Amino acid sequence: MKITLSKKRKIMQLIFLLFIIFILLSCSMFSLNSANKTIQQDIYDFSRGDYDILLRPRNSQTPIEKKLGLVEENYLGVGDGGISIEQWESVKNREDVEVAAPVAAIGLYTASAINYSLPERGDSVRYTVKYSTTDGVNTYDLGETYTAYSFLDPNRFSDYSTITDDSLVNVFWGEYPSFLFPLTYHQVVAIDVEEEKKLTGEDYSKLEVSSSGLNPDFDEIPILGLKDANVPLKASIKIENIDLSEDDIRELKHKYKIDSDNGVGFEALSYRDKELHTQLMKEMAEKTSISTEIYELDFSKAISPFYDNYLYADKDYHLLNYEEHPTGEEMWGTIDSGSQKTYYSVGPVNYQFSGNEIFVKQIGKDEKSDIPLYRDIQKEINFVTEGPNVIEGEGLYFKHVGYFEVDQHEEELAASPLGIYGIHPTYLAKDKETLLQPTSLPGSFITTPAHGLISINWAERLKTDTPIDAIRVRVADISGYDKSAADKIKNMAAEFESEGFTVDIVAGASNQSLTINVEGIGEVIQPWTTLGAADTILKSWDISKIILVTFFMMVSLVYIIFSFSNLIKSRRNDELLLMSFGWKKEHIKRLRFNEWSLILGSPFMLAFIMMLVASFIMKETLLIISLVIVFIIVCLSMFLIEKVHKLNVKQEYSPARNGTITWKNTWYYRSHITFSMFQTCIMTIVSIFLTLVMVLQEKQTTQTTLGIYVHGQMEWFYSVLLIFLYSLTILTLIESLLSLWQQRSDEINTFHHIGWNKKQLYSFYLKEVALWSGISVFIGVLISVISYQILFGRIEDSLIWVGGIAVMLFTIILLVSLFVLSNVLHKSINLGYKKVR
Amino acid sequence: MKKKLFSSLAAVLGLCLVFSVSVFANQDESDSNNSTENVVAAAVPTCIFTVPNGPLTAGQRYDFKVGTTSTNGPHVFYFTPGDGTSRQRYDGRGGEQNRIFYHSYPGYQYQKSYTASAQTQDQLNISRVVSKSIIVKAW
Repeated sequence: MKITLSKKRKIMQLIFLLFIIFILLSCSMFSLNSANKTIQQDIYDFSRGDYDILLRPRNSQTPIEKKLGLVEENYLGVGDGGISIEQWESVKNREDVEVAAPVAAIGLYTASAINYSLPERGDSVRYTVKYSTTDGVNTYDLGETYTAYSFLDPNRFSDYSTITDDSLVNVFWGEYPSFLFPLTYHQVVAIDVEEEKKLTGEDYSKLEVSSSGLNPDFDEIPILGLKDANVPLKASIKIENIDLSEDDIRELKHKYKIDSDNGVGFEALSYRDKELHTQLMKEMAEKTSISTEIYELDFSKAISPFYDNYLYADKDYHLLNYEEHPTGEEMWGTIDSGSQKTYYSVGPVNYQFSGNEIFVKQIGKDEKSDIPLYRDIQKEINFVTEGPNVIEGEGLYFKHVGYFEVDQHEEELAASPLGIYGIHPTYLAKDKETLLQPTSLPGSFITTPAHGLISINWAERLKTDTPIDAIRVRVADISGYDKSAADKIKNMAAEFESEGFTVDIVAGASNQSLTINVEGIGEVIQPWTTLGAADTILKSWDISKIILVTFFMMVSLVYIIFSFSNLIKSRRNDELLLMSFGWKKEHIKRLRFNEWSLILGSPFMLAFIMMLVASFIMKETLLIISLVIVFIIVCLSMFLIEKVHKLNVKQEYSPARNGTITWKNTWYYRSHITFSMFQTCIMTIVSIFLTLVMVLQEKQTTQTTLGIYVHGQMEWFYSVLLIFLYSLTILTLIESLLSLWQQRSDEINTFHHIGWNKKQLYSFYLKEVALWSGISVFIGVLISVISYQILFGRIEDSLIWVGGIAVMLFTIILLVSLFVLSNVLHKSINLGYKKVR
Repeated sequence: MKKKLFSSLAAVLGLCLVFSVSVFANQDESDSNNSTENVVAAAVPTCIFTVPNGPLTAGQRYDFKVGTTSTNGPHVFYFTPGDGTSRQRYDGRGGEQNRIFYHSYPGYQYQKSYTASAQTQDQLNISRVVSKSIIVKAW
């Protein structure tokens, strides 16, 4: 007959719990290690963007950059230069440089001025045209209103006669009711075709194609326009049918000396007699309107910056560009090759600080349109013309040769932004759907991505001898961001710095949104870029890992010690009984060994099989190794516990002399609750201290997109480990209470029989729990608060949270205790009745 | 024997004839290719620019005709008045060889001289600029 001193149910319970502990400890060690690997790998892969080092002229850092370590997403779209072509080429020719892509901000230019045509109308019509632009929040009228008339009047030249404002002579015709496209200004940047291609993979070769040109006296500069960029312009077109009979026309011709067949028409009256023309326009303005149609043409939907082909409205007055919607009919249009004689250079935005808030103030307004100005703008001259002749400088014009696109990296973590292709929108803080943009005129606080690209070969001509604002350097022979790569980058950065550049290491950079208070608009969220995010995340992870692993192992070990102690205690009397029957010590030892082998060996074997399968599937041998280590530690613990118990076989506890009965009971039964108190204390420390540390680290790391991503990767692991930790603590609590109250079952029965009701019993026993668990929680709170204060500083802001967590833990302990006590009471009382019977 | 001789001779002559024809055909093809290439290489359109005669009157409408010698249409026609105003352009429809542009010149207290110019562009090339002097009478 096989004898076991421990109850079968108890053995099964222990086997089950040990099995869980083996699995949990092994998996937690593995998950920590693999989580750590994942994070390092993620940083290594993502933190290296398209380039590593940014070179700029000396003293290029703006005040906000010095203060916050941040740059605007398109920070290279504005600049006064400072690096020469020779300097750039010497950087490019270095052996340790794979790519040296220059950027030269050229200024805000308008496209070659073109017209747009409306559908031909066969009736007598008055056109009134006004333009407006918007920044996404406010709409601004762009000054002048343009008026033109068209009516049937067949002559040698045309079926129509036209009367127009002075600016529309030779532009507006009856067959092609056309108006001039207002000037809109866009960021132009010069790049090197080859180096930029290495950086972005895009083909910019069209920038180096030369043609014979349409104006041999001017230099033709090929320009690529940003495909999806916005031209923030709208035209409001009012078309009125006017009351104008043939007699009226004859009368007008007579009055204003018009001879259409011989070319002396209405359309160029202003060229012959300005006063007469003014009088005619006033007279036409008084013509009665018979019907009115109003159309709104949205240029932002039809064209992109620097478009210079035909532009027309279809019969429904939808604006269409000729490239995407060629008609089958002939097209007439105008194009002005003198549009680039002037341009605007813009200064940086002057950001101001008030505490943690950032402000941008208006510095002025455009006189005609009231568009606010948020930065200095300067009108610059490329050449001067008198009529058709260039009298100063050399003529040039932009020739639109194609488009470039920017990839929409929605989830790009490591920005190392190229400085001119950032397309993340700026939007209102209170309404994410309201996107902000620059208006059609210069002066916005937003620096857009480059809307036009030209070749760096033109930079000296259009700017200065040192036209380059920045060089984006990709270091050769590194494939990611690790320690050796970081050292190489830093060494190169130091060399560049000694050559006089402002050097920024952008490896590990990540996007960040900044809230800025813009005068006249309100709070906006704008995309910026941080530098050097990778190191921060690595450090953050180490601290949290160490704390969590340490406490988790402590909790697990305490539980094992507690369980084994109980096991040894419960066997003691039975072993003495066996000795009294004549069993020898060796036999008792063997019996103990057999039982413990079963208790330890069974869960270990089961766990081992599980881990073996998991290792095989996941191809991770660390799982098995972790399990073996855990098993060895557990065996050693058992051995030590046994030795300790041998030395302290008889332990008598003397009751406390002073204090309440609750205190005296607690003190007397302290051996039962010591482990649980320790577990509770650890659980409190984990709940408070680790939470505060994680919140602090999260603030420092999740401000960046990279931080959010990596922190998101860590979240699942924290949750799993914390669940395990709390589960073990609750288990220990339940075991302790069960052991304690089962030992006191006679006492419980006695109380019941002398007339105590359940409420009194609950109150009596739960007071004890409240006392010792309260002490444990309090000690845990003290340790957490003092440690945090010493290591990280201010905790005053979080004391409410600390208190809240402590109260919550205390409540949970009491509730669990209540549940256990109710079961114990139920069994004890019923058992008591059975005994009585 | 004679018959055999005659037959052999006829066969040889026939072979020679065939050989000659094939050589001639190759030569002809090569010549025509060369001439085609020469034609393609030389097919830069010539712009024909016709302006009104004599000094022009300010504020009066005139027609300026721009034509092309090219047959590789459709063509684009450009006209630059030369007074600092925008260049006009016409995208041709079908195979039109010329278009007429209209323009009025502003007037001044003195006579002004401008250089009007024109160009045409076909599907392959763009012509050289053709310029003409324009004189606009004083008011």
